Amino acid sequence: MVSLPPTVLTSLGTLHTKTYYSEIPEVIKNGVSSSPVILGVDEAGRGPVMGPMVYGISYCTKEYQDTVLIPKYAFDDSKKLTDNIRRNLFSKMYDQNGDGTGEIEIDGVGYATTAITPVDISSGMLRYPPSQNYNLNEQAHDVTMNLIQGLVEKGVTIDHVYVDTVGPPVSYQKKLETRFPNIKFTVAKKADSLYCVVSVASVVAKVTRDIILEQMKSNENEILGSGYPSDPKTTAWLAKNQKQLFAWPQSLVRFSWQTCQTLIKEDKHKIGMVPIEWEEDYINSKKNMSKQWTKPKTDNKKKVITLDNWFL
Amino acid sequence: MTVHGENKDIIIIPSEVVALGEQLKVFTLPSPSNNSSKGRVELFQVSNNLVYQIKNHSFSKGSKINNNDDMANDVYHYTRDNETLKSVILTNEQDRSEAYLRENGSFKFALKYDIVYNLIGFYYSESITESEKEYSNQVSSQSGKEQGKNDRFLTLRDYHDLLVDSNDSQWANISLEVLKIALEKISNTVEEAEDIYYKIDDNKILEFLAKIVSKIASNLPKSIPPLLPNSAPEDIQNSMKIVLATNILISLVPKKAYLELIKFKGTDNTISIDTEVKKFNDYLESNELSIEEKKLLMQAAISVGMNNDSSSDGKDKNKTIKKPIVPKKPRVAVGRGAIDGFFKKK
Amino acid sequence: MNSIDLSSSNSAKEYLGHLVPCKIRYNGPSDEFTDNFNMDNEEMEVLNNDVADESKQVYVNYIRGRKIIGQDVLPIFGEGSKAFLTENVISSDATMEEEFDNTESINAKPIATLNKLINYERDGNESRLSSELQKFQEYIELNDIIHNN
Repeated sequence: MVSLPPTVLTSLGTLHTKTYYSEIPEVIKNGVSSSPVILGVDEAGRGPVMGPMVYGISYCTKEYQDTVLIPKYAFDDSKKLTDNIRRNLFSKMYDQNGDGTGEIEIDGVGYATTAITPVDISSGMLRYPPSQNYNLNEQAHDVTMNLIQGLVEKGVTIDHVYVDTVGPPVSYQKKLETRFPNIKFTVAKKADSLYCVVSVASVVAKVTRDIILEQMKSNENEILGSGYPSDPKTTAWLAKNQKQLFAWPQSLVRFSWQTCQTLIKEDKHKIGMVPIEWEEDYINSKKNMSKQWTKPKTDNKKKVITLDNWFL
Repeated sequence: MTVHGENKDIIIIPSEVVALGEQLKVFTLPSPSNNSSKGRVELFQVSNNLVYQIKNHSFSKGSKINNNDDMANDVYHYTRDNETLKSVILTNEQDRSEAYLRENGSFKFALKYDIVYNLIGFYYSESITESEKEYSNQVSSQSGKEQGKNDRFLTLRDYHDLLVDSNDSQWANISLEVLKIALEKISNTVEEAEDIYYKIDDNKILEFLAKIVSKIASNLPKSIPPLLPNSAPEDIQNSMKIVLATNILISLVPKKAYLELIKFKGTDNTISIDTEVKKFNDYLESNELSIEEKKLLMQAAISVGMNNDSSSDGKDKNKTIKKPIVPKKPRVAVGRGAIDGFFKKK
Repeated sequence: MNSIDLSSSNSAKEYLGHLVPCKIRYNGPSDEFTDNFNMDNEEMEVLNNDVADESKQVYVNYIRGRKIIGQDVLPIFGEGSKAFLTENVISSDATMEEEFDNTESINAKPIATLNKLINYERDGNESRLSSELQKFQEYIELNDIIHNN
C-alpha cells in the first residue's frame, strides 16, 4: 500500500490551513543546472461544499520539464487523468515504492501545497461586519503568493511562474507581477493542460485534496461523493447528516456555501432546524433605516452622559 | 422536574456573599431617582448588614444615549422583538452530553448597594420625573416641600416605620442596622436619654453627594468623552471632570437633589460644585472656541449657574406650606396587592 | 426571583457559560455538544501567544461556520466571586414571609458553578468585544465608588 502523501499528513487532525513544502531537488539547491526554474500553480476543490481547497505548486528546471517530465510521464490536466494514474504519478514524487525508504523516482521536481480548510474558508467568508469578509478569491490569491514567497525565502530563484486561474487572468497577473517584480508570470485559463509544470501542480493538488477528503470519513463505508453540490451522493450525505443545531461537522462542510445556507434556512429536510438569527440579517433593517430618517442633527457633545444612559 | 433553558439563570455573586452561604431573600425598592421610567431596584441583604443590588446585563448592546446614531449608522442591530443578538449556551465541561441553550442572552450579577440613595429619594419624594432629559431643565416643577422631609428628629425605629408606611412597605426587608449606617451619612443627630434621633438634612445630603462626585471625578471612566480639548488648562480639565461626574449621578438621585447639588457651595470637607461648574462655564465663554462649539458644550454641561433664580417658584411655595405631619398610615391591602402582583409577574 | 438559595449551594457541577453573538431561537437541552462547539485550542494558542495576563486571554469557537472570539467576563468581578447557574423552582408553599402568602414564590437554586462566562463577538468585530468589556469594567468600578462608602 502506498503511504499517505506528506502534503496530506500535514493537514490531518487540524481545523486550519496548513502548508507543506517538499525538499528542494538537489539539482536546484546546488545550482548545478544553468536551466531556469519554472513553477506551476493550480488548485483543486474550489467548488465543492465539502473538504479543503488545495493549492499546489510544483517546480523544476525548464530542462527537467522538457527532457524528463514531458517525454517520460503522462502529466496532463488532472481532470483528464484517472484517479489511479494521478495517485501513481504523485507517489513517484514522494515515495516511489511506498516503503518509506525515501527513494524518489521523479527527483527533479519540488512541490508544495496549502490546504485551506472548510473552517477557514467559511469563517473568512462569514466575518462580521460584512466589510471584513475575506472572500474566496482573496484567500486563493494570498495562499498562492505565500506559497511562492515561501519558496523564494528558501533560496529558490524562480524564473517563470505559470498559473491556472478561473478568474480574470489580466488583473491577477498584474497583482502577481507587482508582488514579485523579479519573476515572470503567465496567468491563463486551462494552464494545466498547456504547461506541463502546471499539470504536475494540478496532480499534486488534486490527489492531496482527494485523500484528505477520504480521511475525513467517519467510517470506511461512508459515501461523501465528490463534494460538489451537484453530486447526488454529496447532497444525500448532507441531507442524512444534518443536525438541528450545528447542522454539519465544521471540519468537513463549508457553511459559507449557498447550498448549506439554503438547507439551514429553509430546513428543506424538515428536521426542525433551530432558527439562528445573525446580525447581518438586520443590516439595513427597517428599524435601522428609520433611525436614518430621523437622525438628529445635533452634535454628540450636546448629550448629557449619565450612569444609566452611558453604561446600560 | 422539567428542565428548560428559559428556566435557567446566570448570576454572579461577590466573594463575601458566597462565603456566607445564605438563602438570599430578594425584594425591591422604588428607584432612588424617583424617575418613573426606571424600574424598581432588586435587592437583597445579607447577615453582615450589607445590601446588594441584582442587575441584569446583556452584551452586544450600545449605550442608550447613542442608540439612534448607532442604529442609523448600523453600529448595532437588535432583533425584531427588540432583543440583543445574543443567546446563552451552557455546557457541562465534565459531561458534554449535558448542555443547554437559552434564547435570552442576558445574565444577572449582584453588586454592593448603598440604600442611602433610597433615603435621598424618599427625602425628595415629591421630585418626580419621567425621564433623565428633564434634569437639563432647571425649573423644578414640583412644590418644594417634600413628603420625606420632616422637622422632627426620629428614632431609628420610627424612621424605619416611616419608610415602611409612607415610602414603600418593602423597607421592612432592610434591617435597622443597615438603615442606621445609611441615615448617619445624611442626617443630623441628637442624643437624648441614650436614644439617638435622626433628621435627614439637605446639606448633609449634598455634602455626601459632593464627596461621591469628587471620587468619581478622580476616577472618571475613560470611555466617557471629554467636553474639552486636551489643550485646556489642567484646572479647567478638573472642573470639567466635576461636571461630568455630577451628571453621572442623574441616574441615582431625584431631579431636585441634582439641581441643588450643582449649586452646592461646599463645606470644609467637600468641594464646591457650584464653583467648579462656574469655572468651567466661564472658561467656555472666554476661550477661543467657536460660538457653535461653545453652545454645544454649554448645553452638555447644562449651563449651570446661568439662570440663578430658576427654581424660585419652588422656594416661594415652600414658605406657604404647612408643617409636615409624619404620616402614619396603616399598611393597606391595596399596596400589598400591587407588590404581590409585581412578584407574580416576575 | 424571590430568593436565591446559596445555603445548600450544591453546585459541584462545573459549567462554562457562553454568551454568543446571535439569537438562537430555542430554549432547552441539546445533545449536539459532545462533538461540537469545542474551543479551537490551535487558534487560541496563536492568538494568546503574547497575552501575559491570563484573564485577558481570548477564546475561539464556531457556530455554523461563523468564527466567534470571546473573553471571560468573570475576572471583572474580582477574585472569589462566583458565577452560578441557577434553576428557578416555583413553589406555592408559605415558606416566605407572610406578605407573600398565597403567592407563588420563585427560588433560584444553584445547579452548577460557571468556571467562565465567555462573551463572544464575531470574528471581524473584536473591537466591540473589547470596548464593551472595558465599559462594563468601568461600570463595576464606578458602582464601587458610588455604593461602597
